[in-house]
Amino acid sequence: MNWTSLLQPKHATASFVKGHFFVIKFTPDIVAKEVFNLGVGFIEDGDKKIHFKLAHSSLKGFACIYGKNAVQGLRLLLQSISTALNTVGYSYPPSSQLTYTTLMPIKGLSVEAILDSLYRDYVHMDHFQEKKKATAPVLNTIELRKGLKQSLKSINKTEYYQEEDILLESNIDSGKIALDLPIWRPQQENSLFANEHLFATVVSADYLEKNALSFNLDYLGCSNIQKACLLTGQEAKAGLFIYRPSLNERITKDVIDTIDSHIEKSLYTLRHLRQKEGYHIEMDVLYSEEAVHDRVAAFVT
Amino acid sequence: MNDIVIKTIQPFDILRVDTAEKNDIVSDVFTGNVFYEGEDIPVYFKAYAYDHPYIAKGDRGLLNEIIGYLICGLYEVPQPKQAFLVLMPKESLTHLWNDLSDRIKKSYETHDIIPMFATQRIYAKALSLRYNHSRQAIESELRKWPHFKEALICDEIMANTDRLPRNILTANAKDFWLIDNGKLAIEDGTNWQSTGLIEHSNYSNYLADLVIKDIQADSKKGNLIIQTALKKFKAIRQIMAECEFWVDALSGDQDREIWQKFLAFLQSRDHNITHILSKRYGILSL
Repeated sequence: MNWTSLLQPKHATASFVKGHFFVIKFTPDIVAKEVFNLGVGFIEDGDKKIHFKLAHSSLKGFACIYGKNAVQGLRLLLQSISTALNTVGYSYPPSSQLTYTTLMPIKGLSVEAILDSLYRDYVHMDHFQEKKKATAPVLNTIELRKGLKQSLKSINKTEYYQEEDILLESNIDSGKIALDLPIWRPQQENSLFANEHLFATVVSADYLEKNALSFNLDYLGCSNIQKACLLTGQEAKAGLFIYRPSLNERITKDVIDTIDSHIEKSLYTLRHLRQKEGYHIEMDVLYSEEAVHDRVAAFVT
Repeated sequence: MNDIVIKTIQPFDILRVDTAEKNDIVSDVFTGNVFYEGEDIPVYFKAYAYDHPYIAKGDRGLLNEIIGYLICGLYEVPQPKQAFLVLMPKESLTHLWNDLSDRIKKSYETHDIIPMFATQRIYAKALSLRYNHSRQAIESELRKWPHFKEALICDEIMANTDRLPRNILTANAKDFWLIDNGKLAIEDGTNWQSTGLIEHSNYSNYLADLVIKDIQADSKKGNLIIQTALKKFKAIRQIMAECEFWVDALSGDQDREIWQKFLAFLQSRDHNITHILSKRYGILSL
């Protein structure tokens, strides 16, 4: 036996288109002499027409290197190449910074398949078109509160939702203290229906950065509730509801551990106020957006 | 054989040959594309000395490549996804005639088709790096490679003395692929001789040397390599039929018996792999 027994008769199923191809090369800077492939061309045997495929017109890869302004110039060049290939053909590129490579033999199932294969192998400036991996969505504090507003609307408690800061009178001087409290029951002072203060906040712990986590838990969350308690007294009803994300491809076990540990530390002051000083503060860590909304709904009703 | 790993590419399924990358006394390398199972696949073609209708007497490169690819496949070590025996027609290379080595030109003087080994290019518009030297950085990453132990064992079995950084492809700091098994069982020179095949010898093994200090400091690491080898103990039997098929198809009458000796040499090394590794690292055999 020898390898010739492996030869098979030509199969009829794949009848190939044959011709020659070339690559369109571009040197943006004649000093640096970096060379980029801007496109590929194909001329079928027995035909004069040039089929070609040029770099995607967004040219994002090019913009990363040469800046956005340069992209406008390159777009014009792409148009010129297109016109030149349709008129003067292969022989004469429209710029001295462009070259067409020597014609090389090629075959493929169709003209389109040939151009796609050449483009895949030769034009590398369209990495941006790669599909990004789907990642688990982030539910930050802003997004969490947007959903909360809708949720309160559905139980006719829209008036509890506060877009602006709440201004409370200082108990030290005559100044006012602005507090971020998205849940605040409007006061009906000097009326038979006067009621105690009721306020709460919701914050998300869906952050990888420790600084962001600290801003949301310690400042937006605990600090505002602590100050509001001190300014409204032990009769007020306060709430702090924290969304904690679950494990996903973004939030690893280590991240979860960091978040949980941070939440524990953040809640200490409020627990102290509740247990040692008699303030009425409800605190909960919840694991879905719906659970946060439901908890706030229970709190205000 | 139905479950053959190395597929054959017919002359009419060569879509293009783009570049002649290298020609030297060992082999010529080209890049191009082949049509296989309805797909356009970018490949490297590698041509060795040829004397119709067989590979040139005494030239081992082509069959070494095939056997090395099969052994790495057995151990599931990352390497090019697919390998082919390509029946390359003369007409597909004429436009590169000036770049061809005299050996290839001579091969074509009398025959229109010569067999070549081809592997799929590591592809996806990916960066692919090959190092010639400056090894330190890449070697520390190689040691952490999850397939390091299996790769070391493959090279030990096939006695690959040419696994230098240039024959390990990388795209980043954690993914590596083994390429090029053309030089086996010989320290100096290119082609092994049947008289030089020493079954229990510790041939030069670049990967094995990378961890020698670690193992001297902690023999448990050496035992881990041996345990990994035991997981595939005598698995080489699974590829012997295909190896014999290619030896039959590509080697001439004068060489065939010598190739049988080489296959027996590989089987012996596979069966005695724990002993060979223990000897290399100076540890007790399990």
